[in-house]
Amino acid sequence: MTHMLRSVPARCALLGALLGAIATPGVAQKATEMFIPLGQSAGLSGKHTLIAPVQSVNPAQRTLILVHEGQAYTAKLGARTPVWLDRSKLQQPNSVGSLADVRPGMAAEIKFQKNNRSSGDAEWVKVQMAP
Amino acid sequence: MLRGADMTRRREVASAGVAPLFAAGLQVLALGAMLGIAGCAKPPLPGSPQDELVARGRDLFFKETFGGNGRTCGTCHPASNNFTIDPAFIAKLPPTDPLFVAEFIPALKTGFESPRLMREFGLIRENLDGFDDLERKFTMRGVPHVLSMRASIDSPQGPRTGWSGDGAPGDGTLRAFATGAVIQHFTKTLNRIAGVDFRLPTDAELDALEAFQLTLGRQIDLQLPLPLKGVLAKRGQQIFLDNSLGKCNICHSNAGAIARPGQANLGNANFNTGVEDLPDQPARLGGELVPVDDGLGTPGDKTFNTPSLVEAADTAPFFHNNSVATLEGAVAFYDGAAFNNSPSGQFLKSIDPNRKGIELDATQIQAIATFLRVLGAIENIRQTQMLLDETLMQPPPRRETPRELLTRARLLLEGALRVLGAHARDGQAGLTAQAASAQLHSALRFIARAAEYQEPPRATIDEALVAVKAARTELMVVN
Repeated sequence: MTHMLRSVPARCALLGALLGAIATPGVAQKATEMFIPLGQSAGLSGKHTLIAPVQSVNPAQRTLILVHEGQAYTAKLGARTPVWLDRSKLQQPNSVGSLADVRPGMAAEIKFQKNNRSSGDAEWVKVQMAP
Repeated sequence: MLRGADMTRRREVASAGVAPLFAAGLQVLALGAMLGIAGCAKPPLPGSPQDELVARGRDLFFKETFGGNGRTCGTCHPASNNFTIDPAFIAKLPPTDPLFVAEFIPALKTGFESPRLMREFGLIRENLDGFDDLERKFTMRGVPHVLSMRASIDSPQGPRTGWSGDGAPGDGTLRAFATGAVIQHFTKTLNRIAGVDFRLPTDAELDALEAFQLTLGRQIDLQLPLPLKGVLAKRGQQIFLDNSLGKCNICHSNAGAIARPGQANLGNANFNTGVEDLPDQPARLGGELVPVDDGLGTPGDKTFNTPSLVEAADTAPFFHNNSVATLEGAVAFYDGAAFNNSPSGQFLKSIDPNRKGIELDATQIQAIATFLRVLGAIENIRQTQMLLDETLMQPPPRRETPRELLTRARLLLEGALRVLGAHARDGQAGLTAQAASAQLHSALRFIARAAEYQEPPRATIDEALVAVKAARTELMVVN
């Protein structure tokens, strides 16, 4: 190893790899996302998120089923997946909710992990609290 | 990167400058302007769609409040102060300035800003880890300038905005950034209800705001080393680029914000450099609550984003929490325990053949600071040259009037003079700065004269150009 690192390119390559390892991935912030009404998230809504009515909720498995254009999508929520309650149509503040707040028939927006706009692990969930 | 349209326009102007007939025409125009018939000027021709977008973005940036508390993007990113704010700038604002909404809007009195920390240290309150406990869960951050973002925010993992790289909601892009900023900073009440306390920017507005911001500052990274003339700046550049001494260039490649260790290009990266571990942080000495800032993510991973250094000399204070007021102090940070014990400091030590961290003496710190000052001045001069060229273009680029371009040129030169003023005190080594400053003062006089006209006389612009080029020649060898 020491011998290998005597060459400048090898040292540079190691430097790059190690620095790459301590550099962290880029992410969007979630704090203000909560206040963005359903369907209005810049660069995401309608492009990388799924917006559809909730068909069913399974609290035991922590899943939601949404139906969009006749197709069912299953979103799996982890223990820390945020669920936000969009009350903007009620002119009330949006808030942090939980899976227990989600009811069939509610409009929901799901951002899946890695922008994978299909069934899978959800990164966040918004549900609209309608008047 | 210079956009195609800009490049084309610049080439056109350059070639026009040697075309006798065109030059004669311009002289007639200049004469007309000097004779005071500027009022006869025709309305500007429409620009390209991109220019129109940028112009719209500029209007939004400085004028649009999004139905909120009165703040605009320009409230915290004023063009007159390098698109950032600092305590000296804040001190000159009237008490009714929207920056101080927490002092005069009752609904924002508590849980929105920390007014004393804002006035004393230029710190803004952010709720990056959530809005559920406004009294205790927040961070206090400086306002990063928004210059040179085209060259400084991209990374293989996506764009990095704000001090921890996760400043934008939505898709995390610069385009989405304004949405988060409106929610955090523009709201009329702490309910933050879209459509009531503010309105969110539309897609078209986000496009325009992004387009405008990407025109600010450098469009590409510099290529170091520069053929500098001053001995101290030259030595500072050597230390900066020396990966076994200053080690600055590893994470600030070409004094920008891109990490290029060895053959790798990490793009704009986040690192834990230990700034939060600095002892005696000024904002915490007064006893007011300044929670620990945990950086990227929730919970945070203690990493912060790498800022560009070309613009550093005139955008103090430094680091995400404005904890260091001077350029020398910022360089010296990397020589201290907080950095050298941090994951980034330990890493640099681990790859050093002698297991040394960054060890710099006072003279070396001074040399690096001088280098950064000269670098900043040279870049301001380069941008000034470009703006002066643009004052003579038809249609005006980005729909900016010649007077607006001249105002920007003046601000850039005043910035160059500020940073060179500090360098000019470096005894013999500061002579180049003194000589350059004299030329810049001369250029400023020509710019002021040109700004008296709606269409600036070409001869006056040319004289200003001669002076700024001479200033540049004092600082570096120019072919």
